[in-house]
Amino acid sequence: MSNKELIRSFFEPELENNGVEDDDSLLLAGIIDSLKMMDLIGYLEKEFEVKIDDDELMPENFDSIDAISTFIREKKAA
Amino acid sequence: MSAENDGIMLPWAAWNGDRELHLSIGPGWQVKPFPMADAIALTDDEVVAAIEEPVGTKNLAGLVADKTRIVIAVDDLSRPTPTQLLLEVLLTELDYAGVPADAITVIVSLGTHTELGKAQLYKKLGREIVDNLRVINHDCCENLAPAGVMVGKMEVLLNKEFLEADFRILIGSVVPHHFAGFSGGAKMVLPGLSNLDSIVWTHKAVMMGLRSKPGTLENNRFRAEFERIARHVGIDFCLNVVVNSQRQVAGFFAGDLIEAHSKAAKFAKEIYATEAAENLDVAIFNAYPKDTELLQSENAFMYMHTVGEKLVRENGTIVITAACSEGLGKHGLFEPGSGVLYRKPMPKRFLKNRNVLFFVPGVSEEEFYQIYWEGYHYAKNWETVVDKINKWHPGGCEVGVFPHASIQINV
Repeated sequence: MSNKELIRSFFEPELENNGVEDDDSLLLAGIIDSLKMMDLIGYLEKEFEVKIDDDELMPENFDSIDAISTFIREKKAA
Repeated sequence: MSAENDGIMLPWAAWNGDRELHLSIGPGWQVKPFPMADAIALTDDEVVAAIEEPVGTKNLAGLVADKTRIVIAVDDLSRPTPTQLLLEVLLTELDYAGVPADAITVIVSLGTHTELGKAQLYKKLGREIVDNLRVINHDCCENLAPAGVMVGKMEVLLNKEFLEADFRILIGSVVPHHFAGFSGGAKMVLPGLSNLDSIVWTHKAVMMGLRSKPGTLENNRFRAEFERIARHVGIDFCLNVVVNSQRQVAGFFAGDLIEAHSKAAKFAKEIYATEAAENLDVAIFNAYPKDTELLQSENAFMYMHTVGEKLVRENGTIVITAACSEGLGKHGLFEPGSGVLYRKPMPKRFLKNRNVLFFVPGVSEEEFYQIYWEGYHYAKNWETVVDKINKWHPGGCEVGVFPHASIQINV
């Protein structure tokens, strides 16, 4: 699976049920909240073998599938 | 707050009478009050002394010498700060220091809240100040200028008049806050005086849970961010108020942006401390002193956020009480229909498997369900609350009452 597919798989079936596209805000779609966010960080760190620092925990890195995918790509490239 | 056999007394209607509300109880209710530690009010002399002996700065007269444009940022009616009293003391000190009244502008640090009209300004600041000083509302979409500092990946814009002043003063109350640890201090600059995008950033971060524990400043990266930005802009004097259970000034710490605020937060932590409760059948969270509008009523979960879900047993009941004297309220981000961050109401995970009931007589049922999920119960009358609790707990129940739940903490 591609990075995006792996990230989408974490949120399914909510994405499909709500018709959420890759560039839609996960927050405004009600897909992500504080509890889901904690699970997401754990999932990303394990699945992509990255360490997410506190100062990277900002909305622009996690508010859409595209944003998460870009963030992970940049992390892996660093 | 008192709990007698004949009922419950709650503080009620901040900025709209600030009175006690007597509520009846059902048969078999065992009411247990959980008050905050509290403190007595300072005398007028003690308030003056706090300004004359600042923490971490020179005295005010020495600081304002030769300054020609002084701005004073204050908060709005959604906050409990008794601003009029503090502003009167501050203005007297500025007058002694030789600052003319026409050199002073008061800015209401609104974030995205709606501007205060004259009647609301009179409540907050007093008629004499409003009629004799220049008072303006911050607008997060107009009259802004780059602050030369970033939040996340964007540059912060701030109120232009605030930036252009040569002496900047903040007046705010220090009460527990969901993501800043405590309110007041640097938080009055961002989000209080900033642009919409920066405010959206901070609120999105909170909604995603990227926040610290309320009631603590240690390792709080949001507070650190706000302080970094406010330091960059330059805050010359900061007045931090800690209000008691009756919204009186119980602690007052003036001086340096961070040092004086930290002292205020330490005192606030002591007086808002509340005994830990666990496994209650029913918890009543009263939103006072943040009970002016429905959009602020979620603050009543403050105490619960510091204790966790164990506070109320599964299938127990949570009652939120809020006067909502100003009605639904307005918050540019969350306003139904037009708010940038408005979402269709959803159930809150931390309330799962509990009955949730709101006693909010200041709003209609229609207004209530614009904000809260359809599975929660609305009550315009207290009798409805009593009837529902009796029905859900027919054998009687232990009822914990948190009279100032929006500022009470267990940390």
